[in-house]
Amino acid sequence: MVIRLLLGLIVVVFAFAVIRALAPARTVLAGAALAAGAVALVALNPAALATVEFWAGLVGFAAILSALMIVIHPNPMVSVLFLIVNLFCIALFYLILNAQFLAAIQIIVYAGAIMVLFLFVVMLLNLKAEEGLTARGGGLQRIGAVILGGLFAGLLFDAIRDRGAQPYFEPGSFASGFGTARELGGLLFTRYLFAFEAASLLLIAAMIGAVILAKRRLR
Amino acid sequence: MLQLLWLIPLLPLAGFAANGLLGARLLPRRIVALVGCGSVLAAFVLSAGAVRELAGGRFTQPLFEWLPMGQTPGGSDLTVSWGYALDPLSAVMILVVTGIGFLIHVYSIGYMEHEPRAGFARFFAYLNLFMAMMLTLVLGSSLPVVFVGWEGVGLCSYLLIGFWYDRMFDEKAKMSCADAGRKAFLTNRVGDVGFVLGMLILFGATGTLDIQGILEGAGSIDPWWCGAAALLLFLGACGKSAQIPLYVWLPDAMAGPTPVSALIHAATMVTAGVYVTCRMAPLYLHAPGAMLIVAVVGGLTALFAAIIGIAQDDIKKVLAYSTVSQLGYMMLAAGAGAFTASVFHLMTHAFFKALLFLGAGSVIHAMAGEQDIRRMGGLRRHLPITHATFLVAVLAIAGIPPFAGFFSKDEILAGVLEMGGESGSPVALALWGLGILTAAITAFYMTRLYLLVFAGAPRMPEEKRHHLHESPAVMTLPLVVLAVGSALAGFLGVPEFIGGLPNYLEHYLAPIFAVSGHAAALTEQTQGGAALSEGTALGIALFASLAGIASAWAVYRRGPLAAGPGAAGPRGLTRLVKGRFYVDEAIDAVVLAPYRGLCRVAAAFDERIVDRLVNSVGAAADLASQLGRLAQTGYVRNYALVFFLGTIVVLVFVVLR
Amino acid sequence: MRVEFFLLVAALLFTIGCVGVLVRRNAIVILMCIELMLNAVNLTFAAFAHESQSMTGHVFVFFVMTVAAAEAAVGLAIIIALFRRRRTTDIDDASLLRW
Repeated sequence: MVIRLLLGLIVVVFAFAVIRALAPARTVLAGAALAAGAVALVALNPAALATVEFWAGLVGFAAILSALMIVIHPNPMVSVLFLIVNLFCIALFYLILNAQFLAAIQIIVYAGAIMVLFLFVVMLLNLKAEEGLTARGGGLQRIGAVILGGLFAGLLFDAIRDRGAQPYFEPGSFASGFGTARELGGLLFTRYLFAFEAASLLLIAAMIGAVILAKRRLR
Repeated sequence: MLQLLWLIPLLPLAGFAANGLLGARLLPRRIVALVGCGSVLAAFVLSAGAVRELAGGRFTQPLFEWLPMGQTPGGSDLTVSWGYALDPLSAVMILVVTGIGFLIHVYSIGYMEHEPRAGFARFFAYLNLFMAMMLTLVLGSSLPVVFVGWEGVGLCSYLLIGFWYDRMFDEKAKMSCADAGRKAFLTNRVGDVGFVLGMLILFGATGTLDIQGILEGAGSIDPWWCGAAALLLFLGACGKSAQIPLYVWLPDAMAGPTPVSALIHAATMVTAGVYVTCRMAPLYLHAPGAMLIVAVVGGLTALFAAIIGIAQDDIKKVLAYSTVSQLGYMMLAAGAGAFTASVFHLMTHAFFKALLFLGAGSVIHAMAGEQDIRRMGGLRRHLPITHATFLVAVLAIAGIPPFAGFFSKDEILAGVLEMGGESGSPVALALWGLGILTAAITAFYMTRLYLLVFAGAPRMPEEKRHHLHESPAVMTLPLVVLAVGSALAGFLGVPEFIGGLPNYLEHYLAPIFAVSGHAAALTEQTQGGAALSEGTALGIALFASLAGIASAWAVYRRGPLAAGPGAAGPRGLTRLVKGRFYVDEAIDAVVLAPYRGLCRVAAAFDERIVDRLVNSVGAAADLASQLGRLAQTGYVRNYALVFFLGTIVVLVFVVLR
Repeated sequence: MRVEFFLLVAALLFTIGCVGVLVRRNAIVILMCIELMLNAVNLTFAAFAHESQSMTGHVFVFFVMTVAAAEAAVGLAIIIALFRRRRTTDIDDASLLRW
């Protein structure tokens, strides 16, 4: 049931995309119609809304879609924005996985700091859209990359499939404090202390390096 | 002195090293000459002392183990050791070699004085090397040592014939002196194959390479193998001693300086073949068929070369063919079983042929390089000493008593008559007839040579006449010594039947050539029953010589024949003889042309196939690199793609295991 | 809710990131795709941490984020420095090793 709902919603989204591509003038109309369709679908299966699977699937769909858009869209600014969407989806995943602290810092650090950095740089360099994705390095590159990507994905899927693990997720059966800052801090300052300190050193080095690299020459 | 036997070949070798390494730049001319001649003189003194001490026995001096070759299944040791042996035969040889060699060295000081110092030193170095090699050959106690000397003299003859390597020798045939040297070396090589094969057969048959061991075991070798080995060794001797068909190198070897011709091609190297044949006498005595072949080849060579010698116009070429002819005599004697006569003639021939060549050198020296006898004449007034000594040599070679050639030639002819124990056999008579005819022709062309060079009116251009002068003392003194030798050496071997003096040489060499009792018994048998008595034979031979001299005097007393060079349409026979029977051309067509064709095929093979193969390896590498280059696009993204591919490959192995 | 779902999504995100690195020419977009890959890995770690109820996975995610931040900063600094000289972020221009 969840699957059906999900698939239906996916179909709706794709229909929207197709109509938008083919008949750009009718966007709003198409959007309204399809939104109605989505609501109808949801209304038909209200029970699915309560399941985690549905929301996880939805978020997954969003993540993958945004990832594809990063790679496909020529304009780097748009790519940055889609990356932000992707990071949000990942943060939602963290929440589903009971990693609250990670979700928080994902949004604060990743989406909030790193992506801002990216945005600044893109706007600083005033980048235009790439002229197509044809490569001077050979058309073989694109096709080869896609094929190899497919192979890679297949291999990973195969590896995952062979895991043979048991389904585990039960919301209620968690040790309290799993995923909290307290637990994480406890580990960081005892068992992984050295790595923690080394990471701080790394950050200092990165900071200094970035400053020096991006500096204008002193005349 | 006998203990110092090993020094005899070593002293000239040391002279070679000294002159060769230091002579060109460091040593003044005098020192070079002193070292060169002194080493040979020292060798001669040592030889004389050693021979005196030897007193007819046999002395071996093994020096060191040279070729370790394990043991036979029976347990006897096969190792070849480098050693020298002295017995009467090699005693005669070393005295001849070092004595006449010394005289020629002294002569060379005068003859080569116009050479630049580097050439002068090089010449004496080569001469000394030659002496060392020849003495090794003569004194070697086992066949490999002899072979080392054998090859060494071949090498030295190449070096010395081609001494003036940048000069043209024969303009018509486009042969440079270096080409002549190469021809000598290669022709000798053909003979050397025979020598080596014979050596191997003997090793296989007797199990030893020591000469004494082989000769002692000669009686027990299967006759067929014995004959094969004997013939193969004779093939080697043909190469060295210029018998048919390997004589073609000797006339062209006249490209070398005249002292070289005297030393190598008259007195020493060419006698190496005769020496080895005589040394292996017991072997030949056990293979009568081989001996017959030796005799026939020797006789034919003698006649053939003599005929060619009649028509030669170059003074050295006449002497060259004369050498071939006389060598034929020696081989004839050896083949007939008269080994002592062969050695005797070797000895006397060394004297008068060296004298002839040195005298010719004196003439050439006086004529400032002219060698054509048609342009000489009347030199007896200008070159008195040369003339006198030359005359002695001519009489000696023509076989006029009391000079040396008479006795030695006569002993050969007597031996031929008695050959095979069946005196009066048709073969013996035929060969004897050959020998008589050759003697007549020899006398003829030698007299012709004498008349055209020394007698009559001068025929040379005016400016050369002023240049004529007798050679310096350093050149004429050896001539005189050799003339004395040519005159008196004959008395060492007066044949028995003439009486008067005992045959010193025969008695001295008796221990060697009486190894097989066979020959001794035969000689006794035929003493009284010869078809021709020795006296008659002697008379006929003497008559032949005188007839030759007389006819030559009749023909040539007024100078060269009117039908001179370039006369149109000479008669067929004359043309054949003047063209030396076209033997060289025949060899070229039959042997060398196919060989050159083979060379062309090999060259084409090498070029087209082998080179292409090798180049294709290079081309393959090039192709591979061109292909490899395609991967170096320079674009980082392509490299990243390849990383990715690599990762996938690893993953495949991990996941799909 | 099987953990394989998260693993599969992460795998897919990772692959898309890989392909993006190989296909795009803009250096900044390539860096973004690298960030995408790192995030996919983080998701995998979190999923495994959830499955085995161990916080070690979260620690890993923490450090990966730290390193990603440092790397993004330095990488962008490099791109800016290069851009100043060459006025382009097209990485196909970095082809000096081309034959």
